Amino acid sequence: MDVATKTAKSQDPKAAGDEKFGGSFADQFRLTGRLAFLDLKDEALLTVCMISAIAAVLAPMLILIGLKFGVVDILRKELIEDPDYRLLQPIASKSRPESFFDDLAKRPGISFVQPRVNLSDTSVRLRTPDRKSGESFNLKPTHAGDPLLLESGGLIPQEGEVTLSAVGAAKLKVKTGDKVILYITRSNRKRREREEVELVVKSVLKASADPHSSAYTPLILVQDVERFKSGIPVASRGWTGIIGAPKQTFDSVYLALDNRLNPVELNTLKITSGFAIGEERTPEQFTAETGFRAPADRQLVRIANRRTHVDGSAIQRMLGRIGGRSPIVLPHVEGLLASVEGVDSDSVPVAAAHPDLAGATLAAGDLTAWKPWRDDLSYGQVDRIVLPKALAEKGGIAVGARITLSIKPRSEADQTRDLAAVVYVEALSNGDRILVHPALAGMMARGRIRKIAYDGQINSLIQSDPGLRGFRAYATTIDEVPRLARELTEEGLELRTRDKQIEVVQRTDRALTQMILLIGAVALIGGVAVLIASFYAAVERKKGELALLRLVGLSRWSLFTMPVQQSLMFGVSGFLVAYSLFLIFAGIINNFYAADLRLPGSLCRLPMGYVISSLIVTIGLAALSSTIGAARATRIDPAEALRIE
Amino acid sequence: MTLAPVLTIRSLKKRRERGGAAFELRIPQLDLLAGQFYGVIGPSGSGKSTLLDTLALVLRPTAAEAFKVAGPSSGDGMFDVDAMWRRDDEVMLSRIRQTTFGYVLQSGGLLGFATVRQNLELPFQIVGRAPDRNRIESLAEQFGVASELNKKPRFLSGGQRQRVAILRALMLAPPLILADEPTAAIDHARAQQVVSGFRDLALENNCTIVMVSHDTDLVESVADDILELSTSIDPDGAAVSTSAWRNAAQAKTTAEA
Repeated sequence: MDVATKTAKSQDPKAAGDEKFGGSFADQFRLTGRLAFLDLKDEALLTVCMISAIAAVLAPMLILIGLKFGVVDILRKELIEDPDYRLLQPIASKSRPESFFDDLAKRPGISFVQPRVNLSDTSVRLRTPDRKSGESFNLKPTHAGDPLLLESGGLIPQEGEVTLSAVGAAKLKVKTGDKVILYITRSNRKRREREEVELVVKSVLKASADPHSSAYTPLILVQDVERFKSGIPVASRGWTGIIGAPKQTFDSVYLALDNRLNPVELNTLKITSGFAIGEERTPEQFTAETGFRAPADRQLVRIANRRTHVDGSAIQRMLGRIGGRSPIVLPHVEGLLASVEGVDSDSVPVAAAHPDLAGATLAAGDLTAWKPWRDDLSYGQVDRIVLPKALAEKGGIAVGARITLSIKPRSEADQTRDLAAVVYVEALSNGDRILVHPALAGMMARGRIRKIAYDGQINSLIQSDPGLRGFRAYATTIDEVPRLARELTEEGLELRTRDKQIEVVQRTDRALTQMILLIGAVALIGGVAVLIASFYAAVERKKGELALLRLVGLSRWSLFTMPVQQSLMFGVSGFLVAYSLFLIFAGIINNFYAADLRLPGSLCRLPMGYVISSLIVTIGLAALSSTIGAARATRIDPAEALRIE
Repeated sequence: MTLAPVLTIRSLKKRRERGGAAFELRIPQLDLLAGQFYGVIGPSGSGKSTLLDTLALVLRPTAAEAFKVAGPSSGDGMFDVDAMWRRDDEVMLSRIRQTTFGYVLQSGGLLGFATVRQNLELPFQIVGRAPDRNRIESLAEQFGVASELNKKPRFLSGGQRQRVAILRALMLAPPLILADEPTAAIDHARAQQVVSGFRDLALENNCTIVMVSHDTDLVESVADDILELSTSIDPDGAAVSTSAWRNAAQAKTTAEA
């Protein structure tokens, strides 16, 4: 063999034959993987500690996220399942044509529209055939596609059918298929009239759908009931209407008695007449409340009900009981306002007046023609008013003229929105109020609860057809509700919706997510700090062995991968332990608590997508934590191996 | 018969600064031949570690005219280590360490978390070959550690550990084995046994051994030639290491002032 130094061959390892210089990167990677695993096995206790540390950080996070998903899921399910959350209702009662409802139903985002007769429910009574009297129910219209019925286990009733709420069916003790009788009453002159409609129970709703006693029927029945109550004839059912004087309604009635009633008599009178309040008034109180000077030497009494109006017929009956005394009767209405057509001025308060009380304020004309008040006077007998002089001068109106009064509705709840009645100016006054015959005031006040109009042909106030003044609309999904509410409000239709509650859930979801991210960030920072420290310490500890590996030929990068590979092993094992713990806890929580609370979903669940992302994040963070230690490993000088003790 | 060169150095200098004091190792000429057992002796501070680190390809020379190392097989020729250092070719340097060198460290240098067998498999795995079970087992048998194959190093005596370390260095029969005080932790009688066995196995596999030791008697008993290092102070105040071959046939070095 030639001893002479051969010239060095090319330095290309490939020229020397790759297998001699073996250890391709893949081989070295496998080798470091094997060595990393042997190392972990050797330091078994430390390995268990590291895996436990990762699991201890991860498991509570998974449980927290799982609970958030479960809770929010349940909230949303409750929202989604309860059609109430998709409900849009108008705030104002306004008579609308059918085309309005058709257009609304076609609007994108709206899935169903049910017109209603009034904003409030129609009150009826239902009885079973075997009984004479029944229970009171709210009558509500419905038609095909109504989510309120369909999503609560109910069926849409056709003509002759009714769907009851659970509460209602329980009250009547009926079930699907039974016969019930709906009946309504009204008073006509002095008689009570009653009509009945036979219905078959089509279905009964779930208890959660409607907490009241409710009966759902087609709209036509609700409209006919309202017509009956208003005294309008319903030919299709053979129901007659009420002809004659419009009914009168008051807020209270004042009596000025010359023969005094003692407290016992007053109380008896009040009770037997069916009123809630019967109280004496002082002259000052009388003036403050009615605006009139109290007549001298008379006992002043105010009769009223607590929360409801006073019917003219009830007052009439009471007067019958007072007997031999001749009281001054002043039925009273609050808040009537009117303006005179053709006279440019603000609305003027309107008050019922008694000739004896008003006489002092007259400037021109007199009230001698005014008939004493009765509840059965016709319009033509009482279409008399007293105009303030100032107003008359402004409009150039004299005593004896016929003018048109525009009566303003008192509130959004009023049935009659605009009433223009032709009246006769009986007198002028020095005051600032329009004074009217009490019967006329009563008819105007009646317009609040029933829709009335003035018929010039017969010169009378008549009942008008109630029309459609409200609706129940549903959005397709709860997410549509805020947008629809905004759009419709901008178009002038103010709505009541549950968007506040929806927003609460949406905000709760966001807040919970943010809180969990925050908690998670803190936990992860802690976990990462532990991992970084452990890996760095481990590399320092194994400096000798790592230096040896460098000495015997492992490259810097192979050494870098060793801690990283260990971190992946920790990461995966730690995650598996954490996930197993999560499954155990979720199982316990869901089986023991959820069963108890009868929830519509799991209380704690983690969608698979999140499980996988958590795994990836864990592995990623573990690997990242090891890079500092791994970088340290690459800086280990092989020479250190030669110098270790 | 002329022996093939395994490592060749001309005019190599390595300068180190240690706490303000400068130290310079000078190797004017070094030729290591195949199959020879070289001993390196000298007092502490004479540069034994520096020499070994430089030969081990882990310490970069300050200057060198030539520094060549043989490849693992006879047909490979010599590799220019100096050129690799100058161009920072870490990859090549580590590959040469994998295939041309074997190391026996003062402390044994075994992986504590792996069994004896796994430690002996390591050299194969580093070069990407399947471990040769027969070779492992027969060498272990020869060196008397066959019964410890499945144990981890912490369960072996110091002497057993050292023998395993020697076996690992011999596994791939590399051309050059560097041993740094391999018998430091063993008593004298056993040390003799171990080193003799070492030399025999090296000869069988045609490996060159360079052994650094403070035990002059031990070295003299087995080495073919001995390099003696000593220090002198040069005019600048720097300590300079000088080396001299005991065996006259090798004496091509000249003492430096």
